[in-house]
Amino acid sequence: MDFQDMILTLHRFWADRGCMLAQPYDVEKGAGTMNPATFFRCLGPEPWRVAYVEPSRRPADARYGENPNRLYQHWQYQVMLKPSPADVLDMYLDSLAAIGIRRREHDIRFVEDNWEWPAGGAWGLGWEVWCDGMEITQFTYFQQVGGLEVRPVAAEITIGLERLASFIQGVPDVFAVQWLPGLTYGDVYRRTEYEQSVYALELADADLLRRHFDESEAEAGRALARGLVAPAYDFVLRCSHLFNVLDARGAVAPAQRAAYMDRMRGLTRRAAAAYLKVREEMGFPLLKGVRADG
Amino acid sequence: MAELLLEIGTEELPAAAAPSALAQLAERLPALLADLRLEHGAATAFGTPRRLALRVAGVAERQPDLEEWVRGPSRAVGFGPDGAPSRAALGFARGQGVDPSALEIRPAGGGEYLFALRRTPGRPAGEVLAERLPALIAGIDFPRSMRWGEGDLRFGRPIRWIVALLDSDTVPFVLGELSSGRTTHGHRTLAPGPVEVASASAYEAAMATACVMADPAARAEHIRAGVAAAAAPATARIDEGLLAEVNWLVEHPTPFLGEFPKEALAVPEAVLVEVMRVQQRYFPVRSPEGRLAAQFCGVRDGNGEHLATVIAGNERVLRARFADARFFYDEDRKRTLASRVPELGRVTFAEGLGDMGAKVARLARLVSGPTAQRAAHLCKADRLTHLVDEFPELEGTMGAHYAQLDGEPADVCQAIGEHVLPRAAGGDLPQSQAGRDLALGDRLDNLAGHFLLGRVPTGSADPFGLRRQAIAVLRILRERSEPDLGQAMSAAIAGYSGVGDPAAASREVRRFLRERLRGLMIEAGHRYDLVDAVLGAEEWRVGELWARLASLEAILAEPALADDFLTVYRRCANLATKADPDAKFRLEGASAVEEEALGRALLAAPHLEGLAHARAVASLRPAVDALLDRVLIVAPEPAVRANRLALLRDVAAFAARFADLGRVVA
Repeated sequence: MDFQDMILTLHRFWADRGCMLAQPYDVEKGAGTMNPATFFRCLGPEPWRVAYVEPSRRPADARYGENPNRLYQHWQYQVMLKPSPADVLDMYLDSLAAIGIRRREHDIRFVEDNWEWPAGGAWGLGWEVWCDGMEITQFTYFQQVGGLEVRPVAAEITIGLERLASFIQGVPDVFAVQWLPGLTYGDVYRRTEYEQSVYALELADADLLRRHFDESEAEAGRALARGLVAPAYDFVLRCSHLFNVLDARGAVAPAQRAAYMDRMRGLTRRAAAAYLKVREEMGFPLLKGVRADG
Repeated sequence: MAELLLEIGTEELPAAAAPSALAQLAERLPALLADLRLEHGAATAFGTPRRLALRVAGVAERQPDLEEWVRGPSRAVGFGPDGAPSRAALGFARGQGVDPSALEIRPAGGGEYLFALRRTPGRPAGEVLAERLPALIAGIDFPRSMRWGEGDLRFGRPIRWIVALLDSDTVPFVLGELSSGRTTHGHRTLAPGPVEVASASAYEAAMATACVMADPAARAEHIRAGVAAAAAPATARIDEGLLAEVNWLVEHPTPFLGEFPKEALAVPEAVLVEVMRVQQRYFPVRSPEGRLAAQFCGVRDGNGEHLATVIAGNERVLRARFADARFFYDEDRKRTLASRVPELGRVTFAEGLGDMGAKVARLARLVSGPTAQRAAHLCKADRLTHLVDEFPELEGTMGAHYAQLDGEPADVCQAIGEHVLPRAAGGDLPQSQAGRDLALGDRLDNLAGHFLLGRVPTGSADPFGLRRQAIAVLRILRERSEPDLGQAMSAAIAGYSGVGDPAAASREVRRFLRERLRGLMIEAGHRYDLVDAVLGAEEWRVGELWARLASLEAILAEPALADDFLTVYRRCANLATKADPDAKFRLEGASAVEEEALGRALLAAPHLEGLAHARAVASLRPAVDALLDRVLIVAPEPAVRANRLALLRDVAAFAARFADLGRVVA
């Protein structure tokens, strides 16, 4: 199964289970969780089911396109189900079967792994899912996001697509993954990986990035002051990415790290609270029909 | 009599938390039965990542009827002047469901009261259990618990089913969104789907049919034997901690042997073992000669079908992991350890205590000699390497390895490797002088810093692991009388300037070390009173304190000697408290023959150790007895009295010069 067939199959699978197929969100971010379709939608009482592919940028993992498994940017397949259904693990295992990983033929384990995103005021309990000794999925029951209790609880499934594709295709190197017949992952992304690595690890102008961080933080605050959650959150995402580049560049001293974390946590908390307030003022419109017959 | 079965079906529980959860169930369910007045027999615990279960044999099918006398109003209140029951008495009788004529007057608490005999008919076990089991399940604690779905229930991971049976009858109750029943679930892969449990006694058979090894002890032995068989003729050393973890990751273990390319062995063995153990939960395999083999033992949760696919997958993952480790190793070797030292200033040592650069500078001041100095300078630099960043447990080991590659002298490398020892309770201790000095200096510096900031560990909270560090210090010094721990601790505190209150820190940390040493001695089986006697002396050489404890025990093991020894001390010590501390005993001031005799004997007594010391003290007994039996110590003349009291004080002090004998009981 090639890379894009995998995505199409997962899309079909989760669409059949009532998920909205969302699209990647166009601001740089370190994880699919930060897409507003997960970060905001897991808050409050409204139900939500969504699946999407999200580019995830991890400047610290940049390896010039030379490491078989570590990438500046990889693609995450992200599913969020709220409230978490009772059969969510079986649904997940069925989704693996749909892309060719049948459980009888492999060794699938759920190994404790608790997720934490301090800058997002977020944590949850769950597992890393192993297939024949390889971590293929992060599965989390969100307990808190943006400093707020997640109630009802949302289940999040995050799959690193490159790694899973290399497993399914039996290739040792993500760059050898077949995107579609005649085109490999490396054909498309190896050069990009190299350039982004050189930038993040060698070239990035730390002073400029720090300045942008300060400005983005201030602008997020201005937008929040007017109750404009969406533009504020875009600037929050920018802060997060700028910090990640600074960190990869080795430009964050240990003494500064905690202060940066506090600033980002403050922003995400305010954004989360502002979102919830807006939804409440709107009367939590997605609750329609859910409680009516309950 | 019936058998009770309770199975809590969950999503995969954390391997680290499941055994404790099962132990709680095994303790609390029998306690609940006792509380419900339900007689019961032995309990058997079952547990896997997906279920915690307990079966209790011989459970009474109903509670016995309960008869208890309930106290009501006093006789004076209960009967009117006419002898008829008052309204209070009638109300009490009604409340207890008895006829007023059945009330009895009985003495209680110094008066007389009305009593009613209340009969509570016993209820069926199923009924009372159904009321109490939900709270029992919800009350099981986890280090971290969670909510799921729309419910408010908290547990280690979501509960998905509950089986509750008394023989073949269900015990019906509701917990959150779940109802108890007889439906369990088999192995996720080998027997997915619901499984009916016919009766409590059929549980193991149902589990076996559903491909679940439910008995954790039997499952662990199955893994142990399977790993050994898979590795033969080579051997896989079973790391018990790893076995315990792996055991709680599987319901149907199938151990297997995998291989990796021999070229991977070019990376230091400690790194490979750490990758296998920590990242992959594999058991490393060694040749009969003890060399690390290019093989590993893994444990599949499943059967032998498609095992080749599973093995190939695991081998591929391990190759990638080793490639990563190789990459880190090669990167690390591009720079010498020494060149990294200046960057330690960028690494935080501990909150409020500055950076690692300052820490290393302090450490260098605490040790002496060129080997220890050089090792102190280099020993923290491996924290800046990729491999130690990835595997913190390799600190010291990698430092020693990289130092060796850099051409540092062998004794320096050894000291770097040993400065982190002992790694755990009971772990290996440093062997070289420099390694020992560094290991001590490192821990004492940690203790000093945290105590200076007032971070004294409390009963439950020890976030900086200071207890462990104190115990490491005491273990290193166990057989040694150098250095003096008190002086070494003072030097470590003096290493910080401008932090906290050194006097308070010194007082607190000394008390803390003393308490830990007391704990170690008592844990080792020594008598409380002897430990307190030894630690009652102002002495900080740890090896000396242990030697004194052994001496005291040797003395007490000889009853006649012990009697003379302790009698000399006690008879003298009793009066010695009256002595003027500044008064000196003068032989020429002795005014009684017995006084002079004891004085001469004391002056002539040799200063020996252990049993010999005790004999020297014991030999004073006739002279002590003679003086105390025949001579008035508290004589009317002040000068005479002072001289005699001073003599007794000196004898007591001589006897007790290695331990506070006043604390010895018996």
